[in-house]
Amino acid sequence: MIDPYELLGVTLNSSDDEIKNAYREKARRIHESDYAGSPLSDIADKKMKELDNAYDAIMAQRRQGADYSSKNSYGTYTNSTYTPPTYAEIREKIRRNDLDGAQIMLDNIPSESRIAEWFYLQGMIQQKKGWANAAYENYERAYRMDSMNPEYSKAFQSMHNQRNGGYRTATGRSADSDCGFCNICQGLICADCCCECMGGDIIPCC
Amino acid sequence: MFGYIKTHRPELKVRDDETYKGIYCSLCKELGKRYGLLSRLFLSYDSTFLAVAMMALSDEKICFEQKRCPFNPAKKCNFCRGEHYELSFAADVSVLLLYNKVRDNIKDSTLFKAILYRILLVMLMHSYKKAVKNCPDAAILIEEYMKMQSAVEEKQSPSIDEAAEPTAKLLSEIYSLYESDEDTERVRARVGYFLGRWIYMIDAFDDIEKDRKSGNYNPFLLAGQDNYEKIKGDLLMTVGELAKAYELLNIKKFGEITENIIYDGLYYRTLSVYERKKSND
Repeated sequence: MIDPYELLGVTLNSSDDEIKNAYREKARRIHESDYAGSPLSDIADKKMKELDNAYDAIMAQRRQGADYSSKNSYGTYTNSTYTPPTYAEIREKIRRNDLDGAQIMLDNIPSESRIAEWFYLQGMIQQKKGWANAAYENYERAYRMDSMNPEYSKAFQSMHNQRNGGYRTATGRSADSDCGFCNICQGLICADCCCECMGGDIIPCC
Repeated sequence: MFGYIKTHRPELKVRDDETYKGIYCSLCKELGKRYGLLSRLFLSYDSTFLAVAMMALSDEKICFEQKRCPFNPAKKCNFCRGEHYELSFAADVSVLLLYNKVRDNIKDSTLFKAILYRILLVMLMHSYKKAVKNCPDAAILIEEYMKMQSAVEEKQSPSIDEAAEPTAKLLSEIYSLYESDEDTERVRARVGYFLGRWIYMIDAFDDIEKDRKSGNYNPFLLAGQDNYEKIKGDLLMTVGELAKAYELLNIKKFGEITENIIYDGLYYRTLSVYERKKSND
């Protein structure tokens, strides 16, 4: 039995707002990640439900059945556009993590007939295997072949964002490395130069 | 190969830095206890992370006590009180990995270096045999994956995914060994996978010039990748996948440390290797 307080990283002394924020922070990290191409997507769903239950349990205890503030819960992952039978079958295999089976079916489709969906599903297999480079290339191909498709776009953009450190933003960190000190020094040196032009001097030794 | 997985201290609270150093020192002590003086010198941050990650997932409370450092009497260290299997496991794995790494280095080395490595190997033999006895499962895994790695290199594969796979798979197994809960095992395996992959890639990235001169196997060279920007992207993408899996772990303690390492440590390390490569050209 999981302790709801431990799961959210709060204590009995935490305020309602603190608990709401803790829930939102944890939920955001999972929700902002694209688990479609991960073999752990079922665990991600479970974790989201656990977080929801933990929040509900704590709030119910506190409010003793009265209405409590909404946490604006995040939905579950949706997953489907109509696809011809073979591709739908391959999708199902991938969803169940039968990657070898799915790969065999994909390989059977001759290269002339390979549409965007083929590359997207190939990308998914690679991503689930952990072959991130190949996955990225295949998602990019699918996206370029059909940029209006929301799934292809999401898969490609999500990996593309990671390449600049985008995975850090959900934790409150900035994506690009801004060395805080470098920016401060740069700013000061510029200010010093400008100042000297005007006849003053902020930094005497420069 | 070792020492890339570090904290990023500017973003770490002092008390968490102290805790992390305490675990590092405790691992040093454990290595000394189990394997004697020599093995202690090969203490690495990577095995420290293994210990921290395992400790982070267990409910067991860990207390520290202050004592003098056996190497530097002027320094006071924090040591974990009591026995912790995470430390003994990390110690066993350090010795096994080191021994195999040295053995692996011999074939890629010049004559003089190869002789030095062989001498080192003889000195490590006793510890290695002990480590195999202490942790036969890990020993078998490591031997298997070293073979897989040689096979990939012989094949001269230009695929980075394929080249990194043996190391990725190895750490995937090591990080999930003995986990009883099925879901947690899958998540730990995934975290380990991308950690191994990242280690392999950053090592290969760092060695690009060296391997270009010596002709040693390097998948980045074979793929014709002079584009360091792309390699940096590949590395960060790997950490992104790692982070996704990490978020699904139930971290009980030391979360500030593990989070710092994954979100800052790996990130800044990637950037610093990239900057170094860029300025060398």
